[in-house]
Amino acid sequence: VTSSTTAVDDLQRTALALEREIGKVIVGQEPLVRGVVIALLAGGHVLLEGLPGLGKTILVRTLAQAVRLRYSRIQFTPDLMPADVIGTNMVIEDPNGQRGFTFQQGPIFANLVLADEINRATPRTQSALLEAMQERTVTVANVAHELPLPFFVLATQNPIELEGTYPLPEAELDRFFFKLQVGYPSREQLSEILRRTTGAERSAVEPVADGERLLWLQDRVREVPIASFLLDYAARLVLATHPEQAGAPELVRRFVRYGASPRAGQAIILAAKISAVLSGRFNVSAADLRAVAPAALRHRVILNYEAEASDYPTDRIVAEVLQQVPEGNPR
Amino acid sequence: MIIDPNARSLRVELHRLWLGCWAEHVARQMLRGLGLGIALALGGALVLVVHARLVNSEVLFMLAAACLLVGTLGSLVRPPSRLRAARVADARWGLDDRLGTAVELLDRQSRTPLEQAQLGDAARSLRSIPGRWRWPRLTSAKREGVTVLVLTVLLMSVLWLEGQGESLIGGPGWLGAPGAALGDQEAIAVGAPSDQSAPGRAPSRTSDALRQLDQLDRARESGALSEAGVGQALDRLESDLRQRSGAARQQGESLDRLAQALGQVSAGESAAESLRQGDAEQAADQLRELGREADQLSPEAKSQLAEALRQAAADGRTERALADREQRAADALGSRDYPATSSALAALGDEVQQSSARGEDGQALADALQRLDQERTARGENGMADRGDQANSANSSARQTLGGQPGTSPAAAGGASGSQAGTGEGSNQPGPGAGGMVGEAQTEPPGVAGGPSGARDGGDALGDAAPPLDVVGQPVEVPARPASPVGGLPTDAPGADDEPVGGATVPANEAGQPPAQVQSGGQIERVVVPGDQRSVVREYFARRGGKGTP
Repeated sequence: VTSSTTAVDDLQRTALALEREIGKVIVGQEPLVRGVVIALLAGGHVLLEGLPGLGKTILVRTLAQAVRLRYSRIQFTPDLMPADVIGTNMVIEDPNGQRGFTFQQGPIFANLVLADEINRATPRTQSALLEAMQERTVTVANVAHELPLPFFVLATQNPIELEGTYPLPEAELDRFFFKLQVGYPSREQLSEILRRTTGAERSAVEPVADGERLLWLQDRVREVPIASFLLDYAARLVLATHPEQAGAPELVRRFVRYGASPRAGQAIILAAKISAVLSGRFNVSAADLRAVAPAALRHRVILNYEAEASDYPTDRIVAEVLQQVPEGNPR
Repeated sequence: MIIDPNARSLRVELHRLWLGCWAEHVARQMLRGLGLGIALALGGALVLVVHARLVNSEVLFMLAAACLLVGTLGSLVRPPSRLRAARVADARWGLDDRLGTAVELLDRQSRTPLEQAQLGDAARSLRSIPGRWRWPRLTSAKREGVTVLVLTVLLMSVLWLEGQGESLIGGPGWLGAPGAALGDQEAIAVGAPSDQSAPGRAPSRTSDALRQLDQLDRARESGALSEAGVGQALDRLESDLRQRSGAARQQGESLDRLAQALGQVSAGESAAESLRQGDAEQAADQLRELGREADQLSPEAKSQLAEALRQAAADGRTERALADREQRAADALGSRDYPATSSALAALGDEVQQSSARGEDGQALADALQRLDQERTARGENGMADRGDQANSANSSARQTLGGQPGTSPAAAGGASGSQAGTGEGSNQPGPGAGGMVGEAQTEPPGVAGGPSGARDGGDALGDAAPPLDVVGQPVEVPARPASPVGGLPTDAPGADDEPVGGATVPANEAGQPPAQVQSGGQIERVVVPGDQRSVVREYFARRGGKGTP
C-alpha cells in the first residue's frame, strides 16, 4: 500500500512539477497544459489545433526540456516524403570498400516528436506516422525498426489555413490520444506574454523527469481502480456518439456520420485515471470521465456533410452527448 | 484473503449506509404511493363535485390508503443494493465515487496495493464527513413530501368546496350524512324529488325551486319577508315552474308520438316499448340497431315506418330538432339508401337520447308545484283547486316522460295514473329522503302500487299521491266523474274507472291539454273529503276494485 501510495504521490508530484515548469514559459492555457501532461503520462499522442502564434510549438519544446527527452521537430510541407520522416536505406560504403544498405533513421526516431503543421503534408506522408504512432515501430524494406521509448508525437495544425493543406485521415486522427484546442489568451495573459517575451529575462526550464520515470509512472497509472459502473458509463458515452445507436442524442443522429472508435473509450479511461490521481484520489469518478471526454472524443466523431456545410462544432455535439447520457443508477 | 482493517471498517460503514438508504427508500416510496393515492383521490373529488353519486368519500380514502400500502410493501420487498446506497452517499456527500468503487473492491478476493489504498482513502473520506450519522437525510424525499403536501391541500380545498356546494344546494354532503346540511324537513322536501328523477337528468333546477320554497317558508315564518313579498315570489316561481312543466310535457309528447310511429312496424316495437318505459338510452340503442339492420326490413315495412315518422314529424307540437330527425329518417327510409337510412336512424337515436337528457324531470316539477300549493295553503290562499290542477297537469307529463302511458290512450293512461310513484323509474332508487311522504311511495314495488291492469287500491293514490292529503284535517278535493265527458275519457274504455280520487294523477288527454279539469257541461264537480274520512273513501274504492264512480 505504501509503495502504491508513494507511486500515486510521485505521479501527482511529477505532473504538478511538469505543469509548473511549462507554466514558466507558457502563460495561462492551464487546461491545455493539463491535457498535454495527462497525455504524456498516459503515453498518448496529442494533436494541438489553434491559430498561429498561440504557443503551440513553444509548448512542445518546453515540454521536451522539462522531461529531458530526445526531441525532434518535423516541419510538415507538401513536398515532404515519408522517407524524410521515418528514414530510408542508403547505400553506404564501409572502410573496407564494401557497399551495403544501411538504414538511416529519420527525425521520427526521437522520444518527443513535434509534427509541426501536420496537415500541410500529403496524406501519403501523414500516413507514414500511422505505424509509428500505434506500434512504436517503423518498417522500411521489410525491416521493422523500433522507436525509442517513451515515444510521443505532438502534432500541430492550423484550422483555417485550408489552402495547401490536407485534412488528416480518420485513421490518423484516431491515433491521437487527445485533440486539444489552443485558445486565445485573455488580456491579462497577453500582457504577461508580452512582458516575458520582450524583456531581457529568460525563463530557465528545469527537467523534472526522464524517460524511464515516465514509463514507470505510465505503468502505475494503469493500476488505478475504476468501478464497473464507470466503465459502463464510459462505454455508453462512446456509443452515444454513434448515430445508429438507439439512445443517441438528436444532434448525433442529425450531424454525425461515424461515431468514436473503441480507442476513444480507452483514452477516456486512461486519462480519467490520471485526472483522478492528479486530484489526489485513488479511484476514477464520473466527473473525471466527463472532464476528459471532450478531448478524447472531438477528433474521433466524424461529422456528416450537413454539419460540415453549416460548420457545426463537434464540441457542441460532444457536450450534448455528455448531457444526455446518464450516469446510471443501480437498483 | 487479505485482512484489511480499512476494509473491515468500511464494510460496517457501508452496511449502516445501506440500512439508512433502505429506510429512506421506504419513506420515499411511501410518500410516492401516498402522493399517487392523493392525486387519484383528488381526481375522484373533482368527479364528486360534478356528480356526487359516482364516487363517495370512503372509496377515495381507501384509494389513497391502498396506494400508500402498495408503495410501502414495494419498497420493503425490493430493498436498494449496497452499490446504490454507496452511490447515493457518494452523490450526497461529494465523495467522487469513492464508496461506489470501494463496494466493488470489497467483493474481490485479492486486491492490488493501489486498490487497498483506495479502500483506505474511501474509509478516511467517509470518516471525515461531519454528521454522517444523521442518515437518512430526507433531502431526496423533499420533492415527494412537498408534492404530497400540495396535493393534500388541493384535495382538502376541493372537498371543502364540494361540501360548501352541497350545503348550498342541499344535496348529499361529502363529510356528513345525506342532507346533513339541512333540517329533516328540508331533507325530505329536497331529497325526495331528486331521487324520483329519471336517471341522467339533473334535478338541480327543480331542487332550486324547492329550495326557494323552503327559504320563502322560513322567511315567512321568521317575518323576514312580508306576505305580499312572499306572494310575489310564489307567483314568479309558479310561472317558471308552469313554463318548464309545459316544456317537459311537450318533450314527453314528442317522444310518445315517436313511440307510436315506431310501434307501427314490428322491427321498431322494441324501441317504441323502451320509449314508453322512459328508457331513452335503450331506445336510442335500438334505433341505431334498427338503422344497422335497415336493409333487412321489407319495402312495405320501410314505407310504413317512413310514413309514420313523417306524420310524427309533421305534428306541429313535436320538438323541432326531433321532428327534423324524424323527417330525415323518413326521407332516408323512402330513398332505400342503406347508408343514409342507417345514418338517419342513428341520428334519430342520438336525438332521442339528447332530448331525454335535456328534458327536466316532470315528476320533480309536479312535486315542486305541489309544494308550491302547500306553501300557498299555508299562507291561507284559497286557490288550491286551481293550483292542484296545474300540479296534476305537470304530474301527467311526468308520467309520460317517465314511462307512464301517454295521453293518447286514455285507457292506458288511466291504468297507469294511480301508480305514479310506483311506476316511475326514479321510484326504484331509494334515496336520502326515505322516510318522507314521497319516499314511502318509492319504496313500494311497482306491482303493489299499480299494475298493468290498472287495478290498484285507491288508498295509495289518495293517501300518497299528494302531500296535502296527508295532513289530517285538511280538505281534499275529489273531482267527480262527469256524466258525459266531452273530449275526455270514454266511460266504457278499460281503465277509465281507474281515475283516482284526488285528481292529482289524472293523465293528460290526447290533445295534450291538462285534463285535471274534467269538464261536465262546463262545470267542475268536486267533492271535498275531510281528512279523517279518507279511509272510508279508500275502502269504497277498494271494494269496487277500482271500478265505477262514487
